[in-house]
Amino acid sequence: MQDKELEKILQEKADKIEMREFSEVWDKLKDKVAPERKEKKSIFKNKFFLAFVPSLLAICIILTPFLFFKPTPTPEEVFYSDELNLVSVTKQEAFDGLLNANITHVDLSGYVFYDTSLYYTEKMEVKGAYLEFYNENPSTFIAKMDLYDKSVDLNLDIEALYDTNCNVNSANVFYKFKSADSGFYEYSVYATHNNVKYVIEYSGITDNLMEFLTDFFA
Amino acid sequence: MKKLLTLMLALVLSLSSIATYSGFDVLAQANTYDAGDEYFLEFISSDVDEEDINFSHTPLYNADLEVNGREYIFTVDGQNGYALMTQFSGETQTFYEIEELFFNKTSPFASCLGLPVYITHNTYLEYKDQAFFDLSTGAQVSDEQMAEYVFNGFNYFGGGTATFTNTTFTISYARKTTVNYSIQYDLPNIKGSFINGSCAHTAGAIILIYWDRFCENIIPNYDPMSVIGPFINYRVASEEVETLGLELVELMQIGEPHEGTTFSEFQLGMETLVERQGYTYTTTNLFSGGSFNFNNYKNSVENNIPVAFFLSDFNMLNGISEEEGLDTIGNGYCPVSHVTAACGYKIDTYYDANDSVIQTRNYIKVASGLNSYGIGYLNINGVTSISKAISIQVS
Repeated sequence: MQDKELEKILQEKADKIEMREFSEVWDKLKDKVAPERKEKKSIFKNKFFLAFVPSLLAICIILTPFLFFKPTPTPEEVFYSDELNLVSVTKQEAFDGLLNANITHVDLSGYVFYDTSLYYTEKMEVKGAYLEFYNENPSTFIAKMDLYDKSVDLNLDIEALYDTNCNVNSANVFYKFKSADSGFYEYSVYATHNNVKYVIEYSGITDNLMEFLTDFFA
Repeated sequence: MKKLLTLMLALVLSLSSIATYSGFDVLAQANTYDAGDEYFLEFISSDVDEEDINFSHTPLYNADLEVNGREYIFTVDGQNGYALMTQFSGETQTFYEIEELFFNKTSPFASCLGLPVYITHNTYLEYKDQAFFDLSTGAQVSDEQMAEYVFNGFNYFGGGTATFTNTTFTISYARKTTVNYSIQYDLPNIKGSFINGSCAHTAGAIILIYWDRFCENIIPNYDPMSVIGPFINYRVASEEVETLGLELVELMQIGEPHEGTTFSEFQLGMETLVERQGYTYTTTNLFSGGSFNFNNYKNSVENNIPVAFFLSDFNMLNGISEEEGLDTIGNGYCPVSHVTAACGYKIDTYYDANDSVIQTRNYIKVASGLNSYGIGYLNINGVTSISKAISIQVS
């Protein structure tokens, strides 16, 4: 096709195109070309903002000290042994009291008890016990024992009171021979085992303290 | 005749003048003694004969400037001395107590220019210019310190309420000897107290349980001893023991109207209970010349008579660490008053290389009444202040 013929066809097609009015075209285009400025709403009037941001700030204020400063732990209350009151109780009451106070002492089921008392604070919390006991068949020793919860400060002068230190079945034991003048072998013992403190005055027919301690802390 | 009468009148007037010299209250002879004087004379008679004593007294005052006692100045056999006596009203009667008595010693109130104020052991105050001053230092006493003095008073109550401070003392020696003695089976090892601040009732109960072995009706239908095979011990944890203790709290008026108890109230409580059970209560003062006499004490316990000690502050023996030629003595010091029962002693004598005595150290074996010490030793070689020591016998 010659260029002139093509030009003629295109001219005829163009003549048939209807031209819209400018205003009509502009109405469709004007927002795209220069969008209409809407009035912006203030973020501070946004309800979501008003609810969320202060809450976020409050949470940050509360949490920041915990993130940057470790809180000082509340010191565990300490009781002095001389401030505790000793109250006579039955054997069952003594062991129930120790159990309820979570004082996990050694197994004492193999002994016979003849004096049992509990140590109480002024608020009537059990912090230990005073127990006198012996073995049977035959009776070869008697022991008078204070046992205390770990929170009780005994203020013991270890160096002055005891002269030997050893471990007996995971118990840390201090002891000192006192006398054999009475015909019995007398020892003072202090031991710690499983967060319980034991102060024992031991009297034996024979000089067999270690045998007693091995059995006691078995 | 007229001249004779004039002379006699002059003589009488002269004698009266001599009697009123120095401004003290001067007492006439025996028939003008009041109850306080009688108490003083009875107390001092353990050392001297009553007839040989010349004395006078002036009032002592409490923090409210009310009369609460007397300062006695006396002479006997050429010796001067003084005594400080307190008086207070209990629920039913007036009590007198000699807090101090010394021969050949000047009264701590000798330098007092104001009112002599005596409100607690070993503390001597005067009131002048509307303030209280410590006579030993001259310093004014603060309100807080005065409040503490008033609180302590002359009561015994503190032994179980204060913590102990551990200290050590060393002694080097070439040779050492030790003598031990105790009443058989010691004393009941009763520890702690059901009522805070009532060490006196614990000490009293310990001594009465001991005597219950021989005077069975002190605690009726009760055997204080237990026998386990070859072992013989006091029973300490029983309802009977607690009942006895609480009875003594009431009879000793513990906590009414002050903390603890005074010496007189202790005596009243013990005597009342013993006599109620049909026995006789007898005590003997173990002081002589105003000081604790260790030989008197030894004599008492060696005759199986226990002793009650009244302490203003005290040292308990923690233990003695022994190395060759060197002892390290560990003590626990308690700065408050206490009452404890005693049954024996330990005497350590240290010698040097020439076999000369370096030091003799005496310890009193006690049923301390303290949870931390139980049966232990009172260290009287130093800071322990013994206010009173009495042997106690029940028959």
